[in-house]
Amino acid sequence: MSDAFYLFSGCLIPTRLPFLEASSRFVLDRLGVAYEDLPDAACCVEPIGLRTMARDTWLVSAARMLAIAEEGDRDIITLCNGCYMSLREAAHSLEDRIVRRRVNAILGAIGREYRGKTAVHHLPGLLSEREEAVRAAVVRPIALPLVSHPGCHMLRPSGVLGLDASFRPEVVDRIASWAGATTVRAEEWPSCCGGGLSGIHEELSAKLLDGPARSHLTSGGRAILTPCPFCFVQFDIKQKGGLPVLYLAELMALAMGAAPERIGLQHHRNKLSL
Amino acid sequence: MRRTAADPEIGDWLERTAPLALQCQQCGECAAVCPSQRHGGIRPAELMARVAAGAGWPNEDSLWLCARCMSCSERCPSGADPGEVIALLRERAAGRGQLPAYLREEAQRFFKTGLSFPRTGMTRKLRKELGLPVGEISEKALTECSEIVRRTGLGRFVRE
Ligand code: SF4
Ligand code: SF4
Repeated sequence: MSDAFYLFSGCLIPTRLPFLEASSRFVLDRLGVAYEDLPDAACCVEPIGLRTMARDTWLVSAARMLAIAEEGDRDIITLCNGCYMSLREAAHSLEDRIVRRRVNAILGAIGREYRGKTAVHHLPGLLSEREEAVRAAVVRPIALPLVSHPGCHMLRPSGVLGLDASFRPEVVDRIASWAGATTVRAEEWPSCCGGGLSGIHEELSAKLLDGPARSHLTSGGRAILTPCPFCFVQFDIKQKGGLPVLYLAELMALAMGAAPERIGLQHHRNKLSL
Repeated sequence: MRRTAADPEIGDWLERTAPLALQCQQCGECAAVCPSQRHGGIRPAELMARVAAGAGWPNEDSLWLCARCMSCSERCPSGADPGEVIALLRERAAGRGQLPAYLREEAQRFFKTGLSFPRTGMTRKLRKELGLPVGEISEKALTECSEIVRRTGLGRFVRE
């Protein structure tokens, strides 16, 4: 596998939150990570709704993306908890030879094959493995108290994702500390933002959001820090009267010297004062 | 209807959900941690008990009230994976046409555009302002994705 990566931005970030993509690219550039956009990318097959309607569609579509990365001999970087879970769970399912054979029978019809050579890295995972480079790239420490909200699908299922723990996760906090921020923990077991019910049942989604929104508000943090665009939307747009939210790559980009307008911070609805 | 092993629903139960549901010890951990149950949504432990008993197939609307946070499966001490059981039950409910309109639209969007969320005028404007690549889904990706949908389960929910 080469040192270069394919960047897979997913659907929600490039369509509705392109400023989160801008901050992620800024961070990757500052770290000197070599990457190109994943060629012929499409939706990971969203793992909350679509995956549960048709498991086979999810698996084959995700396998298609993994196969493309394999053809280019590169690993994938994801920017979204949903994409990360989707691709990692698919790669895990595809370790079963019978499953892989069935999936490849369908991929064969579009001229592709998955052999199981590509690894999938979530941006926080990639950052956490590069402490020295991240620290060296920080030129303007952001000494804000933040409350970290990793989001369910960076953590669970922990056996498959293997990135952080469900109980007292620490990866997001550790990376934030390299940017000069302090983090507080509102919850030992991070609770769900309700994003998965958005569009399906707004009332219940709002009730779920209310739990973390309230505990974050009294945590002592001045803003919520999350690596997930679904959590970001819940806190930036759906939440009423709660703390503003920063996407992890936004914090890191700011600390690495990005001008706030350059990474589109003005497009947050729930305004943040730095 | 008389149920025999030849009944496809029984076959499905035996092959897919029973191996998980029968591991459930009814400890109630999943119920305690489930944010949906706390607010009147899905009740994972009760659902597992009904599935384990083979007491028909729960296909009530509450299946769609799971937020898929996976806390239940993570906390389950028996490896019964209630989150996955719910996902399997949803798939079956969807196959019978019982699914939220929102997800039917999303399936259609994935089939037609290769995306779960729509690109809009705002998308193009913001991407340009931020100096990002246009980022359209390629023709090739679209052709391949729709071919996959036609050959797999999501094909049931889309119109050409
Ligand atoms: S995955 Fe669904 S059932 Fe399980 S804890 Fe989360 S909301 Fe409840
Ligand atoms: S946590 Fe597991 S064993 Fe306990 S009730 Fe739920 S499914 Fe059953």
